[in-house]
Amino acid sequence: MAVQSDIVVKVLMQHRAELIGYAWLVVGDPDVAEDVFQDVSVVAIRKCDEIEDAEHLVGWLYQAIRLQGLKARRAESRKHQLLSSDILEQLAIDRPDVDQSADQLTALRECVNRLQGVTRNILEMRYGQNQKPAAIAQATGKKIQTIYKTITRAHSALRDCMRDRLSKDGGSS
Amino acid sequence: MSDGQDAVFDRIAELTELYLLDALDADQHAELETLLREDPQALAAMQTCLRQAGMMRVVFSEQQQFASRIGEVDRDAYLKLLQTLKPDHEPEPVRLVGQLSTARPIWQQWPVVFTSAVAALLAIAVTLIIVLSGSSNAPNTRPPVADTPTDRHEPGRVGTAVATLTATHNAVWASPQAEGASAPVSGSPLHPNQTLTLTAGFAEITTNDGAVAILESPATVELLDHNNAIRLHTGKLVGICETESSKGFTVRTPHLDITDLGTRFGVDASTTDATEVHVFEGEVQAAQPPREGDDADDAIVQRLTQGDAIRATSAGQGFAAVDHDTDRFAALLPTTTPLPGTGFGLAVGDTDPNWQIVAIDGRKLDTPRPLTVGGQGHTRTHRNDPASSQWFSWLPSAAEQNQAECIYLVRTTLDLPQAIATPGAHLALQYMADNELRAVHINGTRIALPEVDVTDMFTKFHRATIDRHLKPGPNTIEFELVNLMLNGGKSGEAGFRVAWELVTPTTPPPGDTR
Repeated sequence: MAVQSDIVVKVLMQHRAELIGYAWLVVGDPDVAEDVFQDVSVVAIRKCDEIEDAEHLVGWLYQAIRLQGLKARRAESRKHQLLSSDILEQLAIDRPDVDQSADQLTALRECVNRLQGVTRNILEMRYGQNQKPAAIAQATGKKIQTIYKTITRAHSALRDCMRDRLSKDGGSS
Repeated sequence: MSDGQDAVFDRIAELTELYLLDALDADQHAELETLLREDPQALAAMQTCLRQAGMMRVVFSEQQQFASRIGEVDRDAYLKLLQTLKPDHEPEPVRLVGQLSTARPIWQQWPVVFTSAVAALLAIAVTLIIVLSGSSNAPNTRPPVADTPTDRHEPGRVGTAVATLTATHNAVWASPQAEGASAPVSGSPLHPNQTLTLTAGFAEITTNDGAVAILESPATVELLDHNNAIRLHTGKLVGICETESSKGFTVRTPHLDITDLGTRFGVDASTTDATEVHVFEGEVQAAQPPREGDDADDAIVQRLTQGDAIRATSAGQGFAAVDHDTDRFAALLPTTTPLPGTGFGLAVGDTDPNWQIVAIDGRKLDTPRPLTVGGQGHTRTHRNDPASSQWFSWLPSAAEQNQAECIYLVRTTLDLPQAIATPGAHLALQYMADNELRAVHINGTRIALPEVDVTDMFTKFHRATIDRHLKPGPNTIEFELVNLMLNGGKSGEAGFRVAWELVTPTTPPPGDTR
């Protein structure tokens, strides 16, 4: 039985972060990744009657993201080295469990709100404005290696924070 | 997690972040691939990191992104849609919907009530509104409505052409109504509100969107203010929609509207008291307006598929099934002759002597590479049919795997009968490819094929018409198959499949002397 459009919307909501992350892996740029996600969302909604059932929908979305992402790479002549296709496919097959996705996103937002000062500014420039590390380094007056380290450490700190918040709320990370 | 697992996770997190920053060097890239291949925990770790990167992107970009997009869409549609979308697994949107009933408009509320689920909902709601508000190419499935004054041009005004008279056979037209107008001839552009009365012979009209209507005299048609619709006042026609753009072609008759969903169908409005629809292939939607005074919702809509035939009389009376009758439209239907496609008549694993790869990326091969019928990966999406066509599948060589895309030139020879020289004769091509059939070369002339949505590339047949550069006798046909390669590693299987038939145009029935 074909998938109804409201089911497609729910699945897109539920998997949005994972799909954008996966698209980013393919295209190498978060702005393009969001474009790819939007394009595939439109296609999924338009073609929901061609998708066999909800179980196949998530696999279809990953496959569509991969193909649409490759097309976007070609259109933008992206040169950054991609992971091998067998690994990309494996990442699409061994998909993460997203039962807690809404809780995790809420937890991340709360944790981000706790960040102050330069670290938060760097993350905003990186994720909100899609600035390259070199530009961030110039804007903040720091070395580029410091920017890399700050981002990596911020990720680690945010993961710990999310884990704490979810465990307090009775969830798990 | 153990210390060892922590170490793997930390290293994957670091490498993933560098990868997303496009800052991995070759050694780090190799290390990342090795870890991902050899350690299942590394794969899971990367999933977690990608999800976190996606969430970071969502959190940091959502407010400015959605604030700007809210301005792009109709707010009433947005509010209505939000009220219909209540994800049952996430409580936040339900709270928001409750708050929408307050006096403050949503664009004043949203910064206060913004939540993760709402953010996602908004993005998708905006997408849905854009899709549903008319940018879609989906066929028109609305029930029929009466023409309104705005549907029509003012008398005497000539609008942009909406169709072309593409062929005639012994056609005789009634005197043109407009003063000074001449009778249409093959190639004439046809304009909105133009009425054509065919008193003898046959005529073919092609809409701007590519739908074909073949008329048999006596018949009267009127062009509508639309690129893909005509009104059949009286007479018979066959509608043919073989391209994606032509889907949605609508024939309006006195008793019902017929909307094509990708098909061939016949309409007989020869008598004033009824109209019949016979579906030869594919699917159409028949819709009848409500009786005068009834609600628009009372319109009768029915989908018809191959072999179905109905008769409609007065508005609101519904449809009656009748015997399917192809013969009635025989004079209007083109003759189709199936031609052997890829892997015709062979078993899986057999080599097809009629198809070979003759060049790769523009380099001619000293010895053409044979092609064999595939039986595994590609047939998961579409079963082989030895009586028509089957998949050719192959694994690219190591050298071919190292390119962003690799273009294979695949050659066959097609022996065509004299009928291909008949005006209007053509090859109707159906194809699937992994990843893309980009062009076909007909006796040395390259013709680009329509760009196909990448999500559909090897899941269903795509159609194209070849009506140039063909000749009776042997024809050299070459296809450009593009296999998309991923940098730095193995590529997947390549493949394609082609089915085709010779279509010769409508001929008048035996004994016709007009």
